[in-house]
Amino acid sequence: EMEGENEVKLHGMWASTYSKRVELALRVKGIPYEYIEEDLRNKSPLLLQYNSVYKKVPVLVHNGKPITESYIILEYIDETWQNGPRLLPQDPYQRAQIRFWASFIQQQLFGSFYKLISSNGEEQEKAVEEVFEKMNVLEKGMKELLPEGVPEVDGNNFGVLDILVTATFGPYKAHEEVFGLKVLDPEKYPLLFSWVQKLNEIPLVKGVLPPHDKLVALLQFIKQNDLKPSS
Amino acid sequence: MTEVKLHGVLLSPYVYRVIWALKLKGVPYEFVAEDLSNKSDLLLKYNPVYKKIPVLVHGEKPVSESMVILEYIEEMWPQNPSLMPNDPYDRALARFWIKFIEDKIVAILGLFRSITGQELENATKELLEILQTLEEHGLGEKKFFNGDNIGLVDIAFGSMLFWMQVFGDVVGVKPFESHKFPSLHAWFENFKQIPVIEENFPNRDEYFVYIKRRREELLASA
Repeated sequence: EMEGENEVKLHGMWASTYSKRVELALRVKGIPYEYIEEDLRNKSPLLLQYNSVYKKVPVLVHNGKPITESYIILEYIDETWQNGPRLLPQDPYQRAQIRFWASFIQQQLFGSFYKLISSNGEEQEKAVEEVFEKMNVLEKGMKELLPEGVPEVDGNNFGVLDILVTATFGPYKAHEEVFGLKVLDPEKYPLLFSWVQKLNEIPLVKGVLPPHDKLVALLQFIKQNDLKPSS
Repeated sequence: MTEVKLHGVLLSPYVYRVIWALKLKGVPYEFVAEDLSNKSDLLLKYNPVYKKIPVLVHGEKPVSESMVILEYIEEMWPQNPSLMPNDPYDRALARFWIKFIEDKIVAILGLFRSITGQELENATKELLEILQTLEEHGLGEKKFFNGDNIGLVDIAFGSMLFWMQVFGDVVGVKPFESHKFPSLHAWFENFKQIPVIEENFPNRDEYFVYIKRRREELLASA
């Protein structure tokens, strides 16, 4: 391969769950990339140019052309680099199911997480209930999608759902420590819990997830200053 | 041939998206009208997560969420016409605009739900910004979002624009003015003239009556 012919850059942020999704995908596929760390309080002019609509990370830049929105980037990576493991199955119905759950995680689950973090008192109690409800739905959905339980995962057998679950729940211990709430409860959500345990053992995942203490410090800072986490 | 059924109501712009995609592809289907005040057991079985329409059922396998359904239709029946670009980069762009449209739909509902003059002003302003983004960055110089022929982005936006106009008429604002959005206006005219779209366009008066009634209920309970 000639230099510059397949230039891949990723504008990301070390604690961003969305950014991690893309890093996981690139590594699973074995795609070499240049990583550019963005300071979200001082976004680079390049980032603002590449993602003029949302001004957010992650942005993947492939041969100078930007792709934004993490889930869209995952599908782009899968369609562009056809060598290596598939991130999505071939079958249209299975793809539809994965897209459905990706959308659920994004809109429903993350929506309820944000409500949880940005509310207090009675509002927050309601938000907690909502989070547990959504987790329930996700657990049930994954049980149906994976009737034989979580398949074996490793660096070569890692799909979009594995990516989403890793990026969302991988750092669960840091979340519990900061927010004092056990969301990934093994008794309530045994499938999701055991899935995350499996994923967190894989070297690929260990190499990508943010360091625990550093993440705790950042989340504490966000919490104390009443900030909203953003990408 | 495996049976295709579409569970829905004609008063939903999301259902129209699926109707358009199926008809454009020439896929025969059975329309199963749902009563949303009394949802069928089938609907609850097919979409337990959201209990909403549209739901596409292909040989007993249900697909929910209109844009997920549309991508499924495109992949199951990839033949003419193609509703998504072939190039992965262009596909990523199409998906970006689909997501943009989906994320911003709540702004239309904001228009509907605004009670005070200030709320209405804010909601209108937000819609104008959304339209501006689509006018400047989405369509560009193309005839349709998908190029020379319509595609999933056109379908996604066409249904929302129709819906937005009815809401606007009900609450008394007109965000989509032709002098402000000349490209989008031209696009919408072209879109509505596509035979499948023209022959299967939602009934504006029925939507107006329905939304007006819902709005009156909203105001009465405020």
